[in-house]
Amino acid sequence: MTERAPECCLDLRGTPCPLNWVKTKLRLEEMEPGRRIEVIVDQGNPERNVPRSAKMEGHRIVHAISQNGAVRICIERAEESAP
Amino acid sequence: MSTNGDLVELRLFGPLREVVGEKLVSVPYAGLTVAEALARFADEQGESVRPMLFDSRGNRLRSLILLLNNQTVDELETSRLRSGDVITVLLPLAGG
Amino acid sequence: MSDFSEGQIERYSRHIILREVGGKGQSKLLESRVLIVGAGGLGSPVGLYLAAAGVGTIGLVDSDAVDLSNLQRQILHTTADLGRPKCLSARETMEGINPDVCVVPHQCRLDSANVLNVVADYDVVVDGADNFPTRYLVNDACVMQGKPLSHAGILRFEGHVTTIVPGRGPCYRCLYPEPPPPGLVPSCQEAGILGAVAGIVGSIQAAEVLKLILGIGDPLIGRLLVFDGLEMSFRSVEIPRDPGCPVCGDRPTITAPIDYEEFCRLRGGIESNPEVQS
Ligand SMILES: [Zn+2]
Repeated sequence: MTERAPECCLDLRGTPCPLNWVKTKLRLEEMEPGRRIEVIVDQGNPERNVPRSAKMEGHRIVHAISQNGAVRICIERAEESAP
Repeated sequence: MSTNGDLVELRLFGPLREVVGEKLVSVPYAGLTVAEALARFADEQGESVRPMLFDSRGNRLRSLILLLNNQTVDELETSRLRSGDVITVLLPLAGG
Repeated sequence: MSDFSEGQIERYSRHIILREVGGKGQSKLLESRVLIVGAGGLGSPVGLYLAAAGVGTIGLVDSDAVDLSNLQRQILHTTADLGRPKCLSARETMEGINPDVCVVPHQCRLDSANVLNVVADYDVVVDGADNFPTRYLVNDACVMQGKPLSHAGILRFEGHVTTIVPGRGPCYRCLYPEPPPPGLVPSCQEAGILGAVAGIVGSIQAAEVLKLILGIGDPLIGRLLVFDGLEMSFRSVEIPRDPGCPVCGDRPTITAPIDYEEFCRLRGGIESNPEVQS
């Protein structure tokens, strides 16, 4: 299994919805398609909302790992973002 | 004499609606061309309405948009109205 | 990495979330330049929404001062602004909503001598004028310079809106080759206007401008949206480009800005008094 390392990591613990997703999205927009980002968000709403928003824009959730009260979400940037 | 089968509707906007006092007027104009219908309407409504459709020389104002069943009319002089048709008359609005 | 500040990320978050906007779209808005002709009933909602949206540079053309009778619909201005130039009162309101926005006041009346210079500085133009002479002048200047133009007119409970993109659809003169004879179409001053109707129609213009800048959706090109506030209905009417149009047609005869008086003289038959609308 060739797990490409995430290009960058955003620590969004303590950042409320939807700003955590907005910051993730801004970073994704700057990345090449196929590259990955890891974001760390709080459990609860952020852990549900950020992956859902990412998927709605066509990005792929590589994994989401709970760890010490936070969640590490690895997102792979979609081929084409905005229509 | 007019029967229901002759009726077409004139949908009026802006100052024309105000002067006529109705937004939708039923008139027995089926069989006329759009141009003839407009002239007839001006005749019937009189001097308050005529200047909103025709200039002092009797030419149709070039500041009107005329629609037949919500489409612009290319053949004002030739296409004949059928019962149930709707003519819409729009004047530009200056207000801002 | 985008160079939004923390404050901007939060301020524009509801835009950035939109798939059709995103950070790239928001950056486009911040870099864009829009000219609003008239800081009145239409210009107010347009100015408020464009400022809130973060349109980076907003030019405002208006030569009037705030009058008490304006405040029923011209929501850029407040009671404390009475007597102040509308341009300055509007600038204060808009920059107060969003300090990212630079408002450029043009405290003048547009005429054939200045219109090209004023329009040249902007990407998109909004016609919220209150008179026909200015509307034809702005249309002609936009066609000549290839600038997209959001056009709207209001009266009583009605409004018309269309979007003019030269080369892609009809212009104002295609719709109405000639202004109506003076005095035929009353002004809001004479016939009245429901304030909220100005808000509805101006808000549509604002949305059209934002779409044009973002390059999204289908603008009202070749369509006239007719709003009837009493019926609360919208009708969309397809309006073709006129190949014989004197400005945007295949062989234009108006190739430089022309004042209304002059235009009427050329056409003949229309008497004096071009200022009936203001
Ligand atoms: Zn044209």
